[in-house]
Amino acid sequence: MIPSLTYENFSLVFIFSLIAPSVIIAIARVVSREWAERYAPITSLFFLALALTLTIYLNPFKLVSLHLSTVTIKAGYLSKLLIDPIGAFFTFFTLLTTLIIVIAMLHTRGYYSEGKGEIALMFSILHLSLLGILLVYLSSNLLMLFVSWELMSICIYTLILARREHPLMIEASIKYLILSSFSSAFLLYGIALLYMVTGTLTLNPKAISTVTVHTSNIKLLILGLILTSIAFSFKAAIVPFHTWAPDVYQASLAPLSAYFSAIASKAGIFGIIRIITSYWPLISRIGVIKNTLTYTFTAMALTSMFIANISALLQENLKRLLAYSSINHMGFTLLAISCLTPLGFVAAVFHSFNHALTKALLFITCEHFELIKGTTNLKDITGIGRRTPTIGVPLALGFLSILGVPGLNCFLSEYLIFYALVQAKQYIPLSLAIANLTIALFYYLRPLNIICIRRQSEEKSRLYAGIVIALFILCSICILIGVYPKPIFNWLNNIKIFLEQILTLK
Amino acid sequence: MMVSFIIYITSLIMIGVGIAILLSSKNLIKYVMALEIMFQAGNLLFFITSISKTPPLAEPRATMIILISVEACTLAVFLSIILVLYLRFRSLDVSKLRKLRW
Repeated sequence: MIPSLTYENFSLVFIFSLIAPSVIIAIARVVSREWAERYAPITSLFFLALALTLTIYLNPFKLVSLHLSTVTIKAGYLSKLLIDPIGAFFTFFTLLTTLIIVIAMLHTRGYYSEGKGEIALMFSILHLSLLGILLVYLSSNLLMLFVSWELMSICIYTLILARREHPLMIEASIKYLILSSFSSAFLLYGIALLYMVTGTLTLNPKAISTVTVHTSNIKLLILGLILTSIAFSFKAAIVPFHTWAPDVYQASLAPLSAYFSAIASKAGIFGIIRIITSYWPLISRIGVIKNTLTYTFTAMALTSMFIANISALLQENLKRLLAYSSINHMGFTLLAISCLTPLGFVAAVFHSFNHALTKALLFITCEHFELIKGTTNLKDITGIGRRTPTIGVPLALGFLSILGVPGLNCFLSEYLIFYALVQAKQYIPLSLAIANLTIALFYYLRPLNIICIRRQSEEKSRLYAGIVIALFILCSICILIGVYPKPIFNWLNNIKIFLEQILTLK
Repeated sequence: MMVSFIIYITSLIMIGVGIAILLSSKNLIKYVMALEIMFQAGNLLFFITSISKTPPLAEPRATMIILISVEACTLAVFLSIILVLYLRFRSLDVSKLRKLRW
């Protein structure tokens, strides 16, 4: 049985479990660098497990029943945190994936940085950025969202620079820094416009449905929504705001690339979903906005899928190829959002989850290649998957999953996205998306052939326990969801019920 | 009404200036300045909201103070990473960063 805990206490304990590791590790580093370096991963793992256990209290089933009753959304406001089923789901899978990525980082001291005690600082900053991301998921107003957004961004700039002398990392960090900070300026301007038009910063759709908008302000409202969406799609790496993604994912360390691709980019997707669902009463009242959003999102999604796929065909570096694949899938997720139906949002949420798991899997195998060979160029890692099946099998599984092979997790969410598109009668985007899946076949099967099928006479490479455990967990989750999706579908069904309630607000 | 309209136009011009610097300049310090200008454009809009009613609202001003401190943090990190770049490459020119290409 779950011991009882009021929501006020819950949010205190939850935020404590997120802040504590970064503070403890930072203090430990001041006291003793040796100690901090040795115990930082374990501390981080412990608090992540604690936070993951606490997500039981986010309790999606109970939340939905609260929304269904007369109390409705107000019950979801708990001590300044807005806890709704979508945010709860994102929080859950973010913590789960981060936990697995940290497991993969356990046994590899010395790989992350030259200096002593640097790994402790890295874990400290990682936890701060995680705090930022989770507060984005649980923020109840636009100001809190902006502050947590900045916390997340600042920490990610410094995370990319894990080795301070490394020229590629400096370059990637600067590029990301410029684009991302300007996107936060856009976000701030958009928030200011929305505040000017509506007179409130709240993200509660119930409260926004009481707002009246003067007809002369409709253009400002559209501008505000578009600017905030642009800022969020910067972080999600959607074309034309994707230029930082391949550089950052290639230059930074593989587990951190996994973190950026699997978790940080989902914050952008979540931001788009949150801003649309919160402002839905205004969007549905004014038909122009709905059409503008649908067309903008569809165009952005399709261009990002095409550009990412065609660029990925030419890549020689595995991490860069995965980065383009990530852009492609973010576009795919945005295509689901562009339907602006409950099923579309649910498909986007589910695809984010599956993409996080699969991308974490693929980037963790990249970590193995980096540790063995020091590079992820395809010609240097030929045949490693064949020599060491412990790495090769998960890699193949990840590639097949992200390709959308039935029986693995990504197939289900891609199917759901297509179903949502059919339901919204968007047949042209649907056909273009299917064409893109065909292009994707080529660039996923080529590295699979090079790494897992080609022969290269070489002795067996050594294995790292953390990486093997993490890969095993991720593979079993991928197969489990693909074969027995009922529990997760129950959860998604609750999200759908919640969204149907919100999207009927006028 | 007139005052808030003038401030609104000013903030639009400031956003435009920021984007123009971002597109035309190659110097990182100029980027920092452009970023600061764009952040202040957002803050001006909050100020308009504050003076839209009599007596002036307090909430937007409180928001502005929080936002200014957040922006200061962003700029501090921006400058420190620029310093790392400068110590390594002895240059502030973005167009020289050309290693990460396909």
